[in-house]
Amino acid sequence: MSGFLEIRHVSKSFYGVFALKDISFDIEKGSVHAVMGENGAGKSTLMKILGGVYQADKGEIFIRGEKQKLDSVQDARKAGISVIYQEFNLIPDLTVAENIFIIDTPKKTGLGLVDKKKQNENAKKLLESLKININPKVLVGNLSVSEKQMVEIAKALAHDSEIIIMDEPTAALNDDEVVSLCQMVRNLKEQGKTVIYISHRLKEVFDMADTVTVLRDGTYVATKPISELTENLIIKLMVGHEIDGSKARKSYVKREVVLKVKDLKKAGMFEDVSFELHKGEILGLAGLMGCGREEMLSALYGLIKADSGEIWMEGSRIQINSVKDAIHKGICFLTDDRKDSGILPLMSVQENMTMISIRNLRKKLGFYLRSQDELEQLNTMAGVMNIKYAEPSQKITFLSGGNQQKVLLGRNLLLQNKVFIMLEPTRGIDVGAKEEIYKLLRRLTQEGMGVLAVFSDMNELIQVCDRALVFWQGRITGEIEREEFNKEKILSYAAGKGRRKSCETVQV
Amino acid sequence: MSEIKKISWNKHMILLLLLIFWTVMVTTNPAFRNADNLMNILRESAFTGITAIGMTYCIIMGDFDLSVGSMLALMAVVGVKLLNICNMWLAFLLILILGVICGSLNGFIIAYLKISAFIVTLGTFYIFRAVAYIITDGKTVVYSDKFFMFLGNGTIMKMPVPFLVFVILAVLASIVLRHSVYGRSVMGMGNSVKACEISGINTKFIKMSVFMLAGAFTAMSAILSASRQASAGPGMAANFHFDAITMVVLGGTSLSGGAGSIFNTVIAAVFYTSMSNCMNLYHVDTQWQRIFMGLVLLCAFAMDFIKQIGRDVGIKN
Amino acid sequence: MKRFRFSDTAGLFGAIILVFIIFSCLQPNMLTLFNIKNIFVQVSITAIAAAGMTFAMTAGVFDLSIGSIQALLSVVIARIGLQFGLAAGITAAFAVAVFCGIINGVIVVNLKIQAFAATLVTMIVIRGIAILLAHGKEIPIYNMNSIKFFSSGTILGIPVPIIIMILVYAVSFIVYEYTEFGMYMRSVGSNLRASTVSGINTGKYLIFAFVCTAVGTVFSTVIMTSQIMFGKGTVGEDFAMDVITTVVLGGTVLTGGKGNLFGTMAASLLIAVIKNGLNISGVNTYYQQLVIGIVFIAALVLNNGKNLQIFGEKTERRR
Repeated sequence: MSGFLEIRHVSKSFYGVFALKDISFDIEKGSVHAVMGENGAGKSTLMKILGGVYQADKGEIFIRGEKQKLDSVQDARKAGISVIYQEFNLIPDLTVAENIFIIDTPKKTGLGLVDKKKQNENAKKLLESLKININPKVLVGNLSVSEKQMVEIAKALAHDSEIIIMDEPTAALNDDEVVSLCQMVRNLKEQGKTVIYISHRLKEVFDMADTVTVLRDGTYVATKPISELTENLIIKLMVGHEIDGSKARKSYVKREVVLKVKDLKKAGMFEDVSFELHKGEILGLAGLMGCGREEMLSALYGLIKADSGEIWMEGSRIQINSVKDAIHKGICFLTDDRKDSGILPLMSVQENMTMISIRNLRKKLGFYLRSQDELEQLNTMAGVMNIKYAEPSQKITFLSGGNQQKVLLGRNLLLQNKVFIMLEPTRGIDVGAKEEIYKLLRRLTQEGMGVLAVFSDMNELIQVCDRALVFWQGRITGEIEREEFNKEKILSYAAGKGRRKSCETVQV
Repeated sequence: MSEIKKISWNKHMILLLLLIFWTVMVTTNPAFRNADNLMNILRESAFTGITAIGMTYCIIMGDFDLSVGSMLALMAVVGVKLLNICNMWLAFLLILILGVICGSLNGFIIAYLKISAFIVTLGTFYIFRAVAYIITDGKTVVYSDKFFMFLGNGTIMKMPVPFLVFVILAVLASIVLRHSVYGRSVMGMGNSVKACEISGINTKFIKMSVFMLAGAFTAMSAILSASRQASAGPGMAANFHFDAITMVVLGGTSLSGGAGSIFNTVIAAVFYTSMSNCMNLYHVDTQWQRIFMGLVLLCAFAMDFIKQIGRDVGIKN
Repeated sequence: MKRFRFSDTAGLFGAIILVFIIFSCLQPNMLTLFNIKNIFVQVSITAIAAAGMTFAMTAGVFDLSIGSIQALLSVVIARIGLQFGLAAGITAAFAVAVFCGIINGVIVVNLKIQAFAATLVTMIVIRGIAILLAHGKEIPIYNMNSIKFFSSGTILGIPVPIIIMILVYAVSFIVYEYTEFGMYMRSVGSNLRASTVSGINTGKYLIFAFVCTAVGTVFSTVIMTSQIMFGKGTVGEDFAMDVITTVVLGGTVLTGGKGNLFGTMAASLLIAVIKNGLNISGVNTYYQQLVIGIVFIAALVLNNGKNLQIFGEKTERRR
């Protein structure tokens, strides 16, 4: 069987780690083809190869039986492929119309000047045909996230592409917007276009897709028509085994409250945030992109100053005006962007490890730090967490993602902390390191540390956390105990459907 | 094992270059190998070199200070004027304070108003120079006390005084950079400001303080330069910022910040001065010297770029 | 959606009028027709180069070397002009300018050196070449009367420099607003990565940005040379500063993406009025430099404050 778009033996590796291993499958013309998989399964990498952003190390791609050379974005466009990426690729200082027609702008004949009128008219027509209500003359920088998403889609369609790839287009959309997106995808299908759709959300996939391909850890698992699949089956294919939240691990939650937050508010980011964190508890914070949970955690750590609200630590009220305060009070923080705001790439493993604790080391003459003291700290943590490195002076960039993450965790554990805020502690690391970090979490909770964690991967959240708070538009809309964990519940809260009782009473 | 060797060779490339250059020059040119000439190179290297120490801190943090030359002229003329009216040590102290104030002006705008260091110091580059001209009305000011002149021209145990000052300051700066919380913070800022913020470092203050430090080092350069000439003019040190930046970049400090070494800056200062000394010996036209030095800086920039590629490749393997 | 609202530059025009009135009260000479004409001719030299620099800063880069380029061009015009005639001199100047621009651009794009650092180097090198070409001397062109047209000639009673300036700005405006070229300039400065992913050859447009400033400098240099009537390797020491100050004061966003040509023009007028006023009042040139420096820093701070506000609005809108 040969399809319209054929992917044959595609492999790609980054820094020696396979992101894709020998992927082959076909996509039929005029179908909606969902590509599914957990975070890090290689979906986005595959789509970037199709879009010409990355080049495959090995393998070939055929369209209508012809081999395609996809060395650049332009090549991909010529081949009739348009990609809507997760991160926006719009120019904030150009108008909607200019963004949509950034390539192939309509021009007045003769002088070669841009025909703005036609540009705006065409954009308007296109947007109307997609039932998007956005003024084409507005600057993109002034649009909301979902509006930008719509413009991205319109931009992809402006080039009259045969194949449209959508990389998690609904991540930032609310329910109504998702419905209109679904409608849009159906319209596209009616027009005979081929849509490759990447999403985590099973519901949408069942609503729209004709065929589903599942990837796991960079390898191909299966391609099946939707009629042969059930939700559980897809999850099983994605994860490799079915997850059962309730029996995954022992809980070490103690009665004492370590951190209490009351009515925390920051205008435009979050409000009415109140919750308690117990000793030895892993409290998961769920929600969609832009729901305010990261901002709330940043405020707890002093990176943002909250407008109002109270924070209590072990029964006494504390003020957090700066990161220093937070560290002093025993709160620590793990960033979700390891590369950008975690590691100090040009510095050694040792220097990275002692970045925070360095201030508490003994010093000669009031300032002189002795290398031995630092080394001692490194050795302690390296032992505890099984960090692998060649020598203490090795630059941290040469370590694997998992080991880098362990150094970042260790950096915080060198101090006597009570609360650990973790954003995506297992992002971008391999399975083995993941297991080790889970083990570490278990040990920390056993010792009585309270953990506030954000996992974008719902399965992980269910697997790891003792309790979950769901955020929607800066408020807590739901609180779910471990026994009641299930994805649909979390998702419905995250879409703003449920409200916590206390909130409702306040609102009435 | 070979990996480690390669890295350390990379680290000390400038030392190797200096050794090769000196070996060639010493064997081929008798005027160069003259002891007075060699001492003179060391002496001359100190005037810009001291400022280059402060500049190394700036560049390690990922910023530049273009205003150092104008700052030097301003402080030199103010200094000489002060020397004429008050006690020498008091004058030195005041110049040092002035340097810190000038630096903090730069630093405040850069750190707290969040404007790129490049463009801010471009502005103060003009302002400081203009103030120097206004104070002196465009004339050169003179002070020729014996001890004052000794600082710039004298020797202690056959070593030129400025060079000794340079080495002492370099050692101190190097220790602070490697073995103090402050130095670690500066280094960290060049790697990732966000990571430093998360680590509880007062990033804005650190940023401002580095420019204050640059001001202080420039003040010391100013004292020594004025002492060398027993005078100061508002037009002095026109290409000073350029020389200082070249020394730092030649010393292998990464342009984008995050890594660097004071020791290498010292070596690069000597290397740079040796080159210009040697061009003078061969009577190379000043303009050709300038063009040549421009190309040297460009090469140093390009080398930094190549090193960065190497780094990426290193990560891949 | 209008990109150039008058209100954006209204403050600048207000400032110009205010400064002008103050100086006029202090110095009646300010108001003479001769002086006003003089101001405009002064304006044209910075304003034209600033139009080019506005493009560069819209694309997110700076060019510190234009003062040196100006010196080199003045020498080229003088030498080639004397030997082969004015037309050849100006043509050669264009060729040299484009070459300098490409060199700057290639260093920035292909060696991945920050524009500031790269042009800091070329600034030194180009000036060195300029001085060498002139053998360190002035090259007088007193017998080349035809060039005078560019500074003191008139068409329909309007001085030629003003006509050139208006033409340059008209063309710049059309290019900025109504061509793909202008659109890509804005796009590259606004978000480089997104521009690349959208299929724009970003390197090419960054190189163009440097060529723009260099070509703008040609017009400026021709006018300047016809005023002073000699070519010299040391002219234009403060030119880069003047031009960058003008563009920043005009409200072009430092981080790129948003240029303001009207603002640039208004700002150059303001600076010329200040300089002229100080000149007429007999203030030492050192103070002029100081004033320009302070205006520059003030413009930076103001410009930045405005951006922060816009940024604040944006985050507000996210919710």
